[in-house]
Amino acid sequence: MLQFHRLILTNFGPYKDTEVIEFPVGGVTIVYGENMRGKTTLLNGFRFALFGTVLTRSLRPLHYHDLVNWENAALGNHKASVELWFSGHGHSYRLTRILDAKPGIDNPIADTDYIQQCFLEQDGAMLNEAQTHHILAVLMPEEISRFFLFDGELLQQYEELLRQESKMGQEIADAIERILGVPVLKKARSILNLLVQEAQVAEGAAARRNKSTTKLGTEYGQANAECQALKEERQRYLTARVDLQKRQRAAEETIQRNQQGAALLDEARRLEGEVAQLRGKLLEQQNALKAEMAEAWKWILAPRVAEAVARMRKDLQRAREAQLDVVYGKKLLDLLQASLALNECQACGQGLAVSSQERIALEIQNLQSATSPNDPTIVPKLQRLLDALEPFQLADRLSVVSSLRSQIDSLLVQINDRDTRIREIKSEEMARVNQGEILDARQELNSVLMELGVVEEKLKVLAEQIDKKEVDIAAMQQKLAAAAGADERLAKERRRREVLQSLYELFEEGVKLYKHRLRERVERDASELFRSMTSESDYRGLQINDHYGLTIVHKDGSPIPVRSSGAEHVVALSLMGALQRNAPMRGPVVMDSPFGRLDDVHKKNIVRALPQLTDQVMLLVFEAELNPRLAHDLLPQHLKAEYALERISARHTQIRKS
Amino acid sequence: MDDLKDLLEVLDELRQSKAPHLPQALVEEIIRIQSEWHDDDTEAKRRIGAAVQRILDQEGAAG
Repeated sequence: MLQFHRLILTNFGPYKDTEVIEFPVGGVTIVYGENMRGKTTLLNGFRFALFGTVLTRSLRPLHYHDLVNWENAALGNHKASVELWFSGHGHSYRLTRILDAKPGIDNPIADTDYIQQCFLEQDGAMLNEAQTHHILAVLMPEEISRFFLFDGELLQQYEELLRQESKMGQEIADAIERILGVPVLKKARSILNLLVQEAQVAEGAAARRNKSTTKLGTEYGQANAECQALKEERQRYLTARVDLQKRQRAAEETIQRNQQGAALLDEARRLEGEVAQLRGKLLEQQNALKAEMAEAWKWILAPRVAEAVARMRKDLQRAREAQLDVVYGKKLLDLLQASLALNECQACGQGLAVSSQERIALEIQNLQSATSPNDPTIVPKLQRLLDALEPFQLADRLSVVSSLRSQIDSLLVQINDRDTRIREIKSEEMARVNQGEILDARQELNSVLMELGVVEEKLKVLAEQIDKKEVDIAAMQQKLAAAAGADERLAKERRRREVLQSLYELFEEGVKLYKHRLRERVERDASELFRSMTSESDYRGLQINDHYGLTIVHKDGSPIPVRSSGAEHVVALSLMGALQRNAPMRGPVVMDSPFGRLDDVHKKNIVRALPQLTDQVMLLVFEAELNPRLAHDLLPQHLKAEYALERISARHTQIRKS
Repeated sequence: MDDLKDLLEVLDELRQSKAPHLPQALVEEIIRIQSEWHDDDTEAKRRIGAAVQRILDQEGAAG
């Protein structure tokens, strides 16, 4: 169990002078500081001492240049240091890490302009560089620092554990296994496997030296070598599979990250296809309209032509009637003239009275004036004119043109709507999406899935070949045991191989069982912590997945699929506490402003639960986040020390014990 | 080794049921070495190999 005792910062960030914080053994220490006073720098003080690295709140590495106190740096003092006093594994340690400008560099800017030195004293004795590296790696590996040194941003990442395909989720799951001690078992299993292989080689060599088992020993050696080659090949494919899976996850994450953009890209593509079709239709309609408009000049004349035609038809009618009148008049005139000349009616043959003769004479006179011969060419002329004008009597093409116009307008509106949307997508939404990246990721994904298929098939074949070879080897081992007789050397090698093989199998099983038990215990402890921290009484607890992701479970047993960022923090803290309870590597927790997303009820619940998370907790908060009086009320027994970060200037903070 | 208590319990449970002929002390020794030398595979392998050999030598001496 690791314990922090003292942190000494000199010329480090806003800590211009030498500032000291003492941490009581066990309980909670709270450091109050307003924004920009140096709370994150304190967290970084631990990181720098232990790992030589510092991070911003967005978890990006911070440059050394930004780490040295700016006021002192301006005066030419570029030397910053952090000293951490701690204990663990039965020893006391004093760890000192110093950062300074390289000799000859007066104005260091780049990280390469600085030199970093690290010293570790164990129980008062200075360790060498290799020992220092070894001890720090054993006591606090950087890979698991996220469970000891964290802020709200880091807590938010734990949701990734629920996405089994997530790259970050995999990294966190690996770190969880690391803190839980799984790699110790896994590594031991791998080393035992190597030792088994070496023992098999030695057993084969011993068998070859014995005349009665030379042939069998040679075959055994060959079979082992072949089996080893197959296993190495399998390992290469397994490594390739891991790489491919990483590439698959990266491509899927890229696609997912750009999912909205990808959907918009699809929409833009669909719209572009529709626009192309609409433009095709528009062209057809425009051509049809053009054809109609080629005859349009006729429409201007059409009303006049219609009038003229109507008039001409009447004129023609009248001309024809006049012609008939002339013909009939002439015939009547001839008849009357003959009757008058013969004094006898030519119609009835009766003689004419004088009065009748006078009337006929008058009628003849009238008829002679009325039936003056008219122009015989009028009717043909009118007919020719009518024949010429009648083709101009067009059907109603205006309605056709109007319909075409309307369709064209509708098409133009549809095209315009789509063009506008495409422009919107390309100018706004798509600006947030790297189209090339999406296309590359899709191509990559297809390629990776194809390669994965090949690798999986190959692994299947190799597994069958290895199984068969191991059966052959086991049979040979039995034959060797029977044939070896009193060969002491062979017996010794065989025994060594058997013990190592048993150990390997034990550790193989151990990895599975230990992981299974850990998941059960982490789920149980995280659920207990979660229930003590959540304000929702309808939640029964948490359910763990294979990647240590935790889902909130309702009291009716159903999972709660969506959770707020506040709930995410509560779940993450529950996981932290459960890991601390079950991890071989236990230690202090330093939390920087972890209550930002929490309501008052959750905040109080979490503060009350802090002593349950681990033995030693350091809380870095501002007073509005956690009122000191409230902290006293919530942690009556466990609040062991309080400090305040006092502003001297914008670039100078002092630490005062409250 | 106290930190690895849970892990050792799991291994001991398995050992008793599946490989009782293996000494628990050897299993614990392997875990201790691996825990101490997790950043140096060569040294971890050498030490684990030597631990196994010591047990075999003791077996041999005991006849």
